[in-house]
Amino acid sequence: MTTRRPPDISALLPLTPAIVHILLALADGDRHGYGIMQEVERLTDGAVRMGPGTLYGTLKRMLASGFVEPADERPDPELDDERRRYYRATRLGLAVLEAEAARMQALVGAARAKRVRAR
Amino acid sequence: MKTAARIYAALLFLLPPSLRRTHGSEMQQCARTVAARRGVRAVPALLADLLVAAAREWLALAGGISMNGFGRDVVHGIRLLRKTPGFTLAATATLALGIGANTAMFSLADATLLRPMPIRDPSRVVALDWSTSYPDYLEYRERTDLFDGVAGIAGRDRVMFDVEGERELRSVAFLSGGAFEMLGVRMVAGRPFEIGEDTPGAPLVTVVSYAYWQRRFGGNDDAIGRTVSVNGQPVTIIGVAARDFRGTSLFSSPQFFMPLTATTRVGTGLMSSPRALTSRDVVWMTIVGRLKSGITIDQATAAVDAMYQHQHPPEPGLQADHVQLAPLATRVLGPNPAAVRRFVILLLGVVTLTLVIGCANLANLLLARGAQRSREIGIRMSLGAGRARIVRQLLIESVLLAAMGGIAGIAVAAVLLRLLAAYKLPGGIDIGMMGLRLNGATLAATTVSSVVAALLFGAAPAWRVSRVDAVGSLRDSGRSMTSRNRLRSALLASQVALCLVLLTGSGLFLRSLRNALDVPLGFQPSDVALASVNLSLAHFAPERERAFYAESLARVRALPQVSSAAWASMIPTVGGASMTLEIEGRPPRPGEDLTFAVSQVGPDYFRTVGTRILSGRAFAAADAGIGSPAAIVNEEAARRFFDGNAVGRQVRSSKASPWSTIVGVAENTKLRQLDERPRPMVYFDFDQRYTGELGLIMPAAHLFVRANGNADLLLPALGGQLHGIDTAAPVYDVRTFAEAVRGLVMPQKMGMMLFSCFSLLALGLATVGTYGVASYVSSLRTREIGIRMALGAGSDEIRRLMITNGLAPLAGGLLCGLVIALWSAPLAAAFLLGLSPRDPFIFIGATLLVGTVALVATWIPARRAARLEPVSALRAE
Repeated sequence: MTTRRPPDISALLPLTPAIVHILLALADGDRHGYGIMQEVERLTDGAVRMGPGTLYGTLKRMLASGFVEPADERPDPELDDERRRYYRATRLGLAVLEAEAARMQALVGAARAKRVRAR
Repeated sequence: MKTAARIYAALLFLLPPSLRRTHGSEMQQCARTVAARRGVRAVPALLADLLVAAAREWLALAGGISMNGFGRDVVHGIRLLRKTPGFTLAATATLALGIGANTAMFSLADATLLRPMPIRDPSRVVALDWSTSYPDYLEYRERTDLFDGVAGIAGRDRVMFDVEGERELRSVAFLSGGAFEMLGVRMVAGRPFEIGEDTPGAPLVTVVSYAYWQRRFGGNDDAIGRTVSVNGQPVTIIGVAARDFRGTSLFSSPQFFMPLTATTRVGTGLMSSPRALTSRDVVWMTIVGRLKSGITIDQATAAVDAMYQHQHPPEPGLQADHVQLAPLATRVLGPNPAAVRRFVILLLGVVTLTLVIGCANLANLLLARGAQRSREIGIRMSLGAGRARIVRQLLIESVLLAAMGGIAGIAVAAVLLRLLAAYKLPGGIDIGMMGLRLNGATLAATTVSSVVAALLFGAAPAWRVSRVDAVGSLRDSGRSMTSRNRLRSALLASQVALCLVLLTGSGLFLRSLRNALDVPLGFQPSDVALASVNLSLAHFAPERERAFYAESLARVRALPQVSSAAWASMIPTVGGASMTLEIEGRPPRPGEDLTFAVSQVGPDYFRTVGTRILSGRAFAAADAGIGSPAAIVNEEAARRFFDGNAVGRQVRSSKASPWSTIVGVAENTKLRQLDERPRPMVYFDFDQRYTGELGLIMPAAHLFVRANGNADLLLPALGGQLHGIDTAAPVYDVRTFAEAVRGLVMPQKMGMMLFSCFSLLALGLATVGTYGVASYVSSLRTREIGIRMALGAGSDEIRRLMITNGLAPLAGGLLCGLVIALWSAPLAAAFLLGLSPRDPFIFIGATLLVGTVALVATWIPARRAARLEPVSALRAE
């Protein structure tokens, strides 16, 4: 099956910081809610601490947009043995993340070229 | 941690339902893990995250309102609030008290006025206003043309249960089979009993209350199918009623629900007699029905009344009684639903006023902050922030404050509910028994009051501040602020006004309480101890009963600290029975009511409880014994039926009973309430309980014991003696007489406590507000004062100027307050005893008090202003 990118992927940009963080956290594998929160904190060296309210509010919208999909429900042996719902980034989600990263890259490049520095 | 988890779970209800339903439990799980990993310090962040998320999700749902920078505004707001911890703390505390009190009162209103009963479609459920008999019930049940279902419900009865070897005295309500389905009460576990299980021979089954299930069986499902026993007969637990279902009366809170026909086997008194199921004369249950759709309450009343006339034809020469149907929700409030309603509304009014005063105060504080921040706002506006954005920022700060106040308010409400549980509503509804708790509805009320509060105290200052002129504010003048001062004066005036309203209320209830304590009761409860026993619970034979009464009296009298003791069938002001008497040689006049309250008392009763004998004599030892012909009537009966000469006349309760001769007249005693009119009453000797049906109507007996000194000290000995005589005797409620009649002054006490607390709080807030405004105004005018002084104005003149300036809003506020108080005072009239709701003494006193306090609060800053050195005042710029 071939993936067809939606032609108007750029219409979905820019992404909100919360969406970017969640997609980044899911880029290398499925995680449950608390796992996403931990990964976001790790990726940003503790600068971003996402609370459950923000996380699930955003996740619900991402599910609706097809950026993520629910994976299975299983216990996390490293945490406690409570069953947890895992989430997975979809192809669309990853594509959007890639496009957003490219957009940021271009922005960073432009800023570097002009040697922007606050005085 | 557990409380935090509960608050978190409750706050989830702030989220849009779609999000809560799909991800609510995951969020809880997540938050639990975070809290477990990071400890208590993670809790504030978790709660803040939830609040922000709730606001964001609702706004997103509301149709894509721009969320740009919303989170940043919230963060900015939190940072600002953290920079001024004093202000934040004061504001949160003010709001927490206001919102908490409102939440608690709303739970009370919810449980009494809005949803007194957790039943399906309560507006269609009606109850008959007269008690009926079992045969009547069977006929009403056939009226499927009127009702979708009919249930017979009989109220409380204490029954001695044997639960796994432990004997417990428990309250039982008897419901006809199918009553749970008719009412629409769900079972938490198990099933309700069916009509087929409500027959005289059926095996005994019971449904237990949720609270009892939790306490006794730890909420375990295996409680279903267990057997408890009553009088040695096994009763199987088949279900657990819905959590909020506490029977069909607010006056009791049964732990067991059993089928109607079980009464003859487990009930006591009249209900235990086999006639309870066969005779139309034994009336003991309330008929409750669900109206068929299309049938109005008037149509049903007409049909039911016709049936009643047929079932109970009036005796010749007497007028027919008419019955009426009323919504069950009204009936549960007791004989005077209007009083309960008015009282609850009064309480709601008090707490609403307090919240409004708190909001006025906060608005003033925020205005002052706004003045300090005009520079910051000016910068933001010159950088291009639109007015809408500035207003949003300011409103977010208000909402943050309100949210913190709301969360702290939940804790305040929980505490208040616990305090309220010690009180009773008018008519005797025990608030503690209603099991008030915070639920979805009350939480919604908290949210609404928080939001309304935020708008109340946040909107005006936000609007005002946003009108700051960008350029002017950067120049930092702060000299011309007259319009803002006008707003502050208005706020101040309203605070003073509302404070005066609360204070007059508090004064009225305080005086009313003093009057209530002075009302002659007709008995002297101090130094009297009391114990109750219900021997029919243990099915004592008459000889064993009499032996118990005699032996206990002998033992208690032998105690050194006892001066006298007597048994009686009724505790004055706590329940009682009545009967119609026939007077020898005096046929009833047309329309005359010959109903007497009745009590059966032992020889020493009048001396023990302190009721005076006005003429004739008290019962003597010679009057005791079955078939005693002696009776004593009260003053009211003597006046009404015997023209004052009752001694020597004769009365009887029915054609079949012997005549009793009246030997004395006792003073009137209060029978139910402090403000009741005297009713005729008759006393018979205690031993009469073995004849006729009186002993069945009043199966309980109460031992009154007058102590030489403190009755409290007597209680252990009293309980010990009674329990020691016959271990099977169900002795309960060993307490002082004073404690038993405590409920009499409850409405006054409760009104006084609430009004006093809240009016003190309001007075404090108004004082702080007045002082704040006065000192703020004087600081704004420092330069002006300096110039005036430099031009030769004396300090007296300055002081006068400053005070006169503060006086206008004060006077206006006092005037408004007086008008509102005078206008609303009649609402409290029904709960005041012995004084007019517009008592001039109270109104003048309260006005003087508020006026003086406010004047002092204005005077202090004025004196400070007058002491200024002219030069330093000018330099202050």
